[in-house]
Amino acid sequence: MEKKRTGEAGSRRDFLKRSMLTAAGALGASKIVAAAATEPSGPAGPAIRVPDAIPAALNLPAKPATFPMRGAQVFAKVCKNEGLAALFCCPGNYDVINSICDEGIPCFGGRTEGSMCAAADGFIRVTGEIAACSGTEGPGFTNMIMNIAAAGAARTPLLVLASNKRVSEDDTEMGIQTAYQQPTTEGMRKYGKRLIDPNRIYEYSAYAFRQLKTGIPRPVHLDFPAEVYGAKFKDPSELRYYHEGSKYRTDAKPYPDPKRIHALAEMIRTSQRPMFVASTGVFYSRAWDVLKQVAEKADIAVVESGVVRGQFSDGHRLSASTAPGALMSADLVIFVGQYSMPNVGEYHFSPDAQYVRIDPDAADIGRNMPIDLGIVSCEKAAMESLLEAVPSMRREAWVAELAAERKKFEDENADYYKTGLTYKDAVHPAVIAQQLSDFLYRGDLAKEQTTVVAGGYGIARYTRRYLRAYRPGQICNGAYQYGAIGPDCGYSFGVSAAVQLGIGPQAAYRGAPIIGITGDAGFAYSGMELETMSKYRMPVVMIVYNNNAWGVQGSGRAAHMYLFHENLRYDKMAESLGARGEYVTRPEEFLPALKRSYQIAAKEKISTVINCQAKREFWQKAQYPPGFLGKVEPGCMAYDH
Amino acid sequence: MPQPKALHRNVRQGRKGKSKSHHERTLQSTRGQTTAQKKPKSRLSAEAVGNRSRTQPVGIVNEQLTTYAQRGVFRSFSQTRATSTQGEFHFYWLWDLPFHLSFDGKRKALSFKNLLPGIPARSELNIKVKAFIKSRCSSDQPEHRRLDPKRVSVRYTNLRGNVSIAFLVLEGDYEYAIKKALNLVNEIFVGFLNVYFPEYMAEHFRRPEE
Repeated sequence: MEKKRTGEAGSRRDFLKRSMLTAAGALGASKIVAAAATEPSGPAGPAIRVPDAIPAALNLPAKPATFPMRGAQVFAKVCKNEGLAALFCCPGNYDVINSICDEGIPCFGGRTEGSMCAAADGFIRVTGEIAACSGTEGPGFTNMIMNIAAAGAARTPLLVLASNKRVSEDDTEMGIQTAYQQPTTEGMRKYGKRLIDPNRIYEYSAYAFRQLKTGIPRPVHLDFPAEVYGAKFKDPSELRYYHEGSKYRTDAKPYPDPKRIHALAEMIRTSQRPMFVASTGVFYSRAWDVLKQVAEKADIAVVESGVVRGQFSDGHRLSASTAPGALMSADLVIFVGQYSMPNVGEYHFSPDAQYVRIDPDAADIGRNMPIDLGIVSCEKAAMESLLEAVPSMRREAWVAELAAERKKFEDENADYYKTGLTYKDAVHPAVIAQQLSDFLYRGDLAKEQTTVVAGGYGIARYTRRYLRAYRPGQICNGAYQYGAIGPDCGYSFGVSAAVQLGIGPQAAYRGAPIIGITGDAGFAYSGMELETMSKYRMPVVMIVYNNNAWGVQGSGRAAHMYLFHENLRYDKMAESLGARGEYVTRPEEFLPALKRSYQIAAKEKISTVINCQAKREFWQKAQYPPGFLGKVEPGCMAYDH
Repeated sequence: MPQPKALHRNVRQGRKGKSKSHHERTLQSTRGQTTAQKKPKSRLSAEAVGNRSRTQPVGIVNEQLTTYAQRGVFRSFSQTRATSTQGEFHFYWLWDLPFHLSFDGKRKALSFKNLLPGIPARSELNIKVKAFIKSRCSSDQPEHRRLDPKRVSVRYTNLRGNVSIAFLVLEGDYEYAIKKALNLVNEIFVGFLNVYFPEYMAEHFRRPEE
């Protein structure tokens, strides 16, 4: 609850130890965890508690491997050397996950492989660092599929690991869990390999990180047959292609053609209302500072899109992310790192706008949207070159129009909120969105502090309009492009891990609580991870919009297939999983519940589910205006692209 | 609009990604290369369409619309009827939807006939679409967004629930009229209906509500 930020360095183990001991005082860490957990109501029974074995294990020192090593240890060593930031997994692929853990890489074990895959994705989306997920061959691996696909659509550099049967058992169905993994991830990944030759494990580890760290990011999938992870190596001479990282990949980036940069500078000079679309590539190339410099030098508006928000602050006078009405005025649109390209009509631009695309991949420039100029370059390198070439310009009329359109948008949101408050018998999504926004950005908290997972379906049509990003990595865009609504609790766990560890742009906010938003439909897919949040003492406030139904509604004879029980108690479910629960049924109850939950998350590192009881009729415009909302892309509402 | 897709399927090829922009052409020519610009496929012969005087209104309309096609904004652009005073144009545009634009030189009118189906005359949506169009002509709009009523007059008609929009060119500036007509239709679809009436877009244009 403090505006002051923390920036301490340290390991996850240190953090867990510190948080537990802070709360515990003279007591043992495991005891305080048990005491802090909310016990479910009902017949008395043993208290829900974290077993002593968990903090005990977390307090053990790292045990990096040295030769002689097994294949799994060789792989784990490469992961360590390449800076793998975290592993999220369920048991299975034992040799590999244990070896990664022994190397001292932060590891987390959850309840389903799918959610752990989403956790790794969420972690990467707000840090820009590489993380891995892992599951056992067959069921564990296939449980991850939806979220591998989501990570693929989001262009996340996710390392997907899974064990596999012995090569010698191929096609026999000997034992259990036979699965052909690589064909399954085709179309979702950037690179995949079933490792066959044990002696090439180091080489293929290098393949994986070369792919993860260069070009357009996407998942990389390795599966490890037993002959590979269990192979023994006395010394490096038994490994082929064994050499350090600088020999198998480069940190070099593609630089832009100076002629094209000058052509762009000229287009900017002659434009009256230029606009950058700052997307995923701006984040991964860490181009946000130089982007801001270019924008300020020539008064170029900036609107965001992509998997993560905050590359350009919503509070900046040139921000168009909350000025949807200004998009149609742009006469020059410059896509920077827009990896998932919209089609004509999907972005709210004028048919007369000129388009420029800056992208590291020449093969993708010109796809979907027509271009007037293409620039093949690392986003950051392009911005650095453009900063030199672009003229200093002031565009007062354009800046004034942006400000007017931002105000118009805020006024519209305020109207929705006023209307939402008039519905007294349930909690309208505009009430949740406005009060959450007030709490995060206009109260006691530093507005840059809290990282948010903006998930859910219908609820997100509201919350995205009110959430703001003031620094890189502040909003993880849950359903981006693939549209999966289920992974939100998984994303929230991973994002929370990133903030607790203080990785990348989260360093200044280390230890702060995070907010996750989901719907009742989405909660079903990953709600069990409340147990994982509790186990690791992640301070997550999970807002569940409970409208008793799927987001899309059916009618007639089919209606029952779209409906749930009414008034289900997801808060009780959270309590049963070692977290807290809050049940909010009226508008005036939401803010106090949010404040309580945040304070307990901040002080005691306990997660809460705030079950917001709504009604499915809120999507009916005639009955409950404004009903289900449309959206404008790019900008704060965008999630298709 | 909407037009039966089958009418256009025979020409839905060959345009994607073929044209290069002025800037791309400039850059190529600096390397000693030239890029031949292919004219969009037309369902009429070049004699019937291409050689028409560009000073004639129908020629100006054709040329202006062709420019959008060459820039890649329209796909599968074709002129399906051409006389000295009239033209019918078909193209795929927003979300790859088929559009049909008519030009009547005698009336000096550009028309999107049956642009919006399924809007009962007494419905709230009918009122709001009309109000939105009116607002685009208001002096409250920035100059670059405003449709100047002295230069173009917008006619809104709703016949049995099918909304047509016509643009009457008042001062003979056809380039201005085409540009403003397309921008207004763009705003109606993308900036208005898609945002405030997603259920209508889902029902009548198969836009996913998700």
